[in-house]
Parts: sequence; structure tokens; C-alpha cells
Amino acid sequence: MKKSLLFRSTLKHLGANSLTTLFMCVGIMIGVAVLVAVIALGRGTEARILDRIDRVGVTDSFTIRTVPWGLGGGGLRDDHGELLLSFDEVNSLPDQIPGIATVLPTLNARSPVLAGSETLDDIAVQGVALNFQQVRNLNLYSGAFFSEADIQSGSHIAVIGPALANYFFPGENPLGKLIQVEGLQLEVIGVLDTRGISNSGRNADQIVLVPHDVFVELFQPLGLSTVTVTVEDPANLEKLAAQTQSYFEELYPGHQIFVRYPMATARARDEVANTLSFYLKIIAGSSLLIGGTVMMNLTNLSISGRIREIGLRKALGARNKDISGQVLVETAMVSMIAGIAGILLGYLLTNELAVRLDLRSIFSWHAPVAGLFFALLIGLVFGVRPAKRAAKLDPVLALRGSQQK
Amino acid sequence: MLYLNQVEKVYSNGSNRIEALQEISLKISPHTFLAIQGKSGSGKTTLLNILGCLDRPGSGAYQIDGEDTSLKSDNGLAALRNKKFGFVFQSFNLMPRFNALENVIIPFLYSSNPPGRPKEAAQQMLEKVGLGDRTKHLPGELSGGQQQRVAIARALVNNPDVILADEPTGALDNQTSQEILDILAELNSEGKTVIIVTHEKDIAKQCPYVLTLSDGRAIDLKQPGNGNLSNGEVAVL
Ligand SMILES: Nc1ncnc2c1ncn2[C@@H]1O[C@H](COP(=O)(O)OP(=O)(O)OP(=O)(O)O)[C@@H](O)[C@H]1O
Ligand SMILES: [Mg+2]
Repeated sequence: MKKSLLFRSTLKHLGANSLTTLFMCVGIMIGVAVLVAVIALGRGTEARILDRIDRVGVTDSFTIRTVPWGLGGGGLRDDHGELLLSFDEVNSLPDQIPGIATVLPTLNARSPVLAGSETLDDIAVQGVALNFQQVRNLNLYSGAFFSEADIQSGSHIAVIGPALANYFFPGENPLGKLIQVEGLQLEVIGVLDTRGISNSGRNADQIVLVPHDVFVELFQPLGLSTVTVTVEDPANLEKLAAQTQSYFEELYPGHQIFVRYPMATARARDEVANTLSFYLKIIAGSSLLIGGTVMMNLTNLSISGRIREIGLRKALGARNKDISGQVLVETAMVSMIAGIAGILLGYLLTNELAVRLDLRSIFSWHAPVAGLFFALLIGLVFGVRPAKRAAKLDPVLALRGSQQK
Repeated sequence: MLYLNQVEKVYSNGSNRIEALQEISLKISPHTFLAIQGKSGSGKTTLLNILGCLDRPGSGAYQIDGEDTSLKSDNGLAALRNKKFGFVFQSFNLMPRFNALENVIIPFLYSSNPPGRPKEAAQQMLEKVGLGDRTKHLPGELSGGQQQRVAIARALVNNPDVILADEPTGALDNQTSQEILDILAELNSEGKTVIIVTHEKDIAKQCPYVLTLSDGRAIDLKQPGNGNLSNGEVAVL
């Protein structure tokens, strides 16, 4: 009986002063909405990073290149005409730097690819070693990857991305079919699983993989364009990547060596999300504090307007803690109302931001729970001062309606 | 038994000293009907507030049924106000957004042992003051006399021993004032102690005891009328 009357009377009071209640709510509501957005976008971004790491392969590897990503393939010569990143240098890396497990030299080129009467221009062709599939964590949709025997024999075979298979051989089984690169016929022995868009923004499904030696036969490259290095302990990945970079930069003075690892790139790609999250957190925090302060002052004001009522309640037997409890119920209720409204607003805000900024968002129980928690916390913390003030009112003066400090 | 011994209350703001009550020694036995009169500012409200434990004496002692109130905590006094006293005010002091029944229920909120069926208890009290058919009315929908009756029902709902009324008829016309006084007299005849502050001679002269205050002092105690109305006794010591 006591509690339900208390809640109903508080609701009545808040409803009768709906404009004040609205003002009390606004700040907290915005704060909670932004907080919900921070959490939903943050979880979305985290999931996207994990997805991407999943897609680019194991996280115990990094990649080095002599030219920045996106700038063609092929090796580089130094000032004396020596090849940079020669096979020998690269293959000796595990002996030079302890902690490096394997190296996976990769040759890259872009070339037109033909099949029957169809042609596709500018397709990535990679010359790979036996361990490529395992290191890159590639799955096959059909067929098989190159075997050791395939590589030894130097047969003209290829594993192609699903986009190429669909384009050249729609509705047919691509295995055993022929494609043509640089005038050479290659037999398709496997089709990769779909991987979608890669970190560098290319379609990873438009790719032709050939054994190392076949690539050399096709393109006569000068040196290695990309080397994927795996480490023994993923915890040392960043350290070993930096070591390898300075190792080669000392080897080739005046040349820059580019290093990349999946986590770093995956995170860097979400610069937008990270910056946004930083500012959203500031906005959420300050909105909550401003909202709390506004609520505190409006509650103080509404107490000043109810001095007689408080005096009366004391005359009827209310103890100080009954009065302060009533004020706290009021601020808690306002903040919960603001919190619920903020959660709804937060969903809208999150969707809007996700669409506009091309971000992923994930809604789960975390966001509403955190939203309500912070709303309630603000309601109680900022309710303490008005509650104390109301409780301290002298009943005699309050009944005369006189304002007190 | 309410017993005041040499009670004083002094207010000082800055150099100004206002002696609201001076050397008040008073015994009020149960079942008394006492009116307090005196000029404006003579200390009537201050005395009533001290009697009702809303305020503490500045000096002197106040005993209720032999217990010294100075030994009680603020919460202890709040409990006394809830259980032992019922307050009625000149301006009714009803909660404007609560209907009559809800207003009467309020003292239960602060009671250590409220009745099992608070609404029915409140309904009974409203019937007792003749408002059984107005329970759902808001104060704004009731006449002054009816509002004061709601206030009396509220004062009665915890079954207090003492009703304290500060100018309960001050805002009412003569006929309505008489009705309110009749209700209070009836409560007194049922055994309650009733103490009212009044300006009105017509009201005062009907009361068994009339105490007159002047400048904070009890200067006179009379028994004007129906002494038979009250079983109790008042003594200025
Ligand atoms: N909080 C206070 N601070 C200073 N002076 C006060 C305070 N409360 C009361 N007084 C003074 O104490 C004196 C007695 O006041 P009280 O309210 O008891 O008078 P009263 O007899 O009830 O007057 P009225 O008939 O006008 O209601 C007055 O002079 C008043 O100004
Ligand atoms: Mg007065």
C-alpha cells in the first residue's frame, strides 16, 4: 500500500508538471541515447574487425613488401642493380631472426585472364608456395589445392576465385576447364570459397593462384613482391614485424620496407569508428552530467514549490528519511523514464549513424542495461542534494510556507 | 497528560529578540477541550507546535504521559506526531491532486503499524465527519467546510489521543465554523483531548477552558461555558 501510493503520487506529480519533467529528462535521455549508440557501434566495429581478421587468415602472420600496397607487384632493384627481397634472402629469414617460423614468398601480378571467348582484364594472379593455403587459412569450395607433386612437376594448373568460376563457367563445373593467362593454358583444379572484399578494397574472389614456378614462367619477375611471414608465438607478432622491417631496411639502405599485419590493418581501417566512439563517449558523459545537474536544479525548484506539502507530511509523521526517500523515488523515476526514452532514441541514432557512416552496429542486452544503469545512477547521485535539502526543512517554518536555505 | 514546565521559546534574528513563549507551565489532562486565544503574535501557534512535537521548547521541559520529549530523537517525535497527535490547520492543507480518500490515507504512509485495509479505515473516517459520499472528490471540488472535514478525518485516522487545531474555523463562515466546532466537541465527548487556537469570541466562549496568551505569557485561564462538555482539566501552574 505504502509503495504503490508513493509511486502513484510521484507519477501524478510528474504528470501534472509535465513540462518540468520533460526538461529534467532531456539531458539524461540524450546521454543514454548516445551511450547506447557507443555500445552498439562499438560492438559492431569489434565484430567487423574480428570478421576481417577471420577472413584475411591467421593472426600469427605479417606481410612485407618493397612497394606500398596498391602499387603494382614485381620486385625492386637497388641502386647497384641488385634485386631486393630475393628468394635467398627471404628464405634465410628464419635463420636471421629467431621467432620466425615460416616465410611464404608470394609473387603478384595483374593480368587479363581468358576462357573460351570471355576475357576479364586486370585480374590478380599470385604465384604461391605449397604452404600458402594453410598460412592464409583458405578454404576450397571445390577441387583441391596444389599438391607437392603438382608443384614439383611444374604442370600448368590454377586455383581460381569463385567470382571467376561463376563468370567464365556459369552453371558448369569449372574443374578441369582451361583458362588462359599470358598466352599459357592453365587447367583449373580448385575453386576457392568466397572471401568477399579484402582489406585493400579488392575483390578477393577475383583471383588466380598458380604454383610459384608457373608464375615465374608466366611473368619472369625480378624478385618477390610480397612475403608473408608467420611467427611461432602470435604474441610477438608486432615485435617481430618491426624487427623484420628494420632488418631489411638495414640490408637495403635508402629503401623503405612496408609491413602489415591483419590486426593492425583491420583496426586502422576502423579509424572512423574509433574517432566517432571517442567523441560519442564525451558527448554521452557530458550529456549525462548536464542532464543530472539540470534535474537536480529543477528538483530543488519543485521542492521550493512544495514546502508546505513537506511541512504537512512531517506534521503527519513523516521522518526525514521518508521525505528524502520520496525525493529520491522522484528523481529515480524521472531518470528511468529518461533512460527508457533514451534507449529508444539510441536505437534510432545508432541506425542513422550506421547507415550514414557505413558502420556496423550490434544491439544486445548490454546497451539497454548500461543505459538504464547510468540513468538510475545519475538520478540517484544528483537526487541526493535535493533530497537532503527537503529532509532538513524545519516543519514549523515549512508549514508557514517560508522558504529556507 | 501533557505537562509543560517553564517552557520558553525565543527567536533572535540579529539584534532582535522575540520572546514567542515565556515561562509557560501548564498541565492538560486527557479528555480536555481547551481553546487558546490571544492577539496576533502572542505565541498561540508556537505553543501549539510545541504541544504537537513539531517544535522543541527553547528551554524548559515538556512531558507527554510522563515521558520527557527532550530525550526523544527526531524520528521519535515524528512517530509521536503520527500516532499521538492529529493536526488540523486553518488553511486545510490538503494535497490538491489527491482525492479525499487519498488525503485521509497519508498518515498511514508514516505509521509503524497501518491497518490491513487502509482504504476502508479512511472511508470510515470520512463517513464519521459526514463525507461518506465525497470520497473521490478532489479538494478543489469541495467547499471550505467539507475540506476542513477531510482534514479532520485525516487527523483522526491514526486514532490519536490529542487533536491540535490551529484556527480551524478561521477560513470559514459562521455557520460552517459552528459545524466544525460541533464535530470537534463530539470528538472530545468520545474521549479525545482537543486543543484549538481561535480568534473568535463566539467559538471561545463555547469551550470548557480558554487560555489567553499575551506576549508569550499565559495570562489567564477561564472556564466560560459548558464545563460538563469536558471531563478533563487544565491548570496553569
Ligand atoms: N521562525 C521565527 N523566527 C522569528 N520569529 C518568529 C518565528 N516564528 C515565530 N516568530 C515570532 O514569534 C511570535 C509568536 O508567533 P506565533 O506564530 O506563535 O503567533 P500567533 O499567536 O500564532 O499569531 P497569529 O494569531 O498571527 O497566528 C511572533 O512575534 C512571531 O513573529
Ligand atoms: Mg498563529
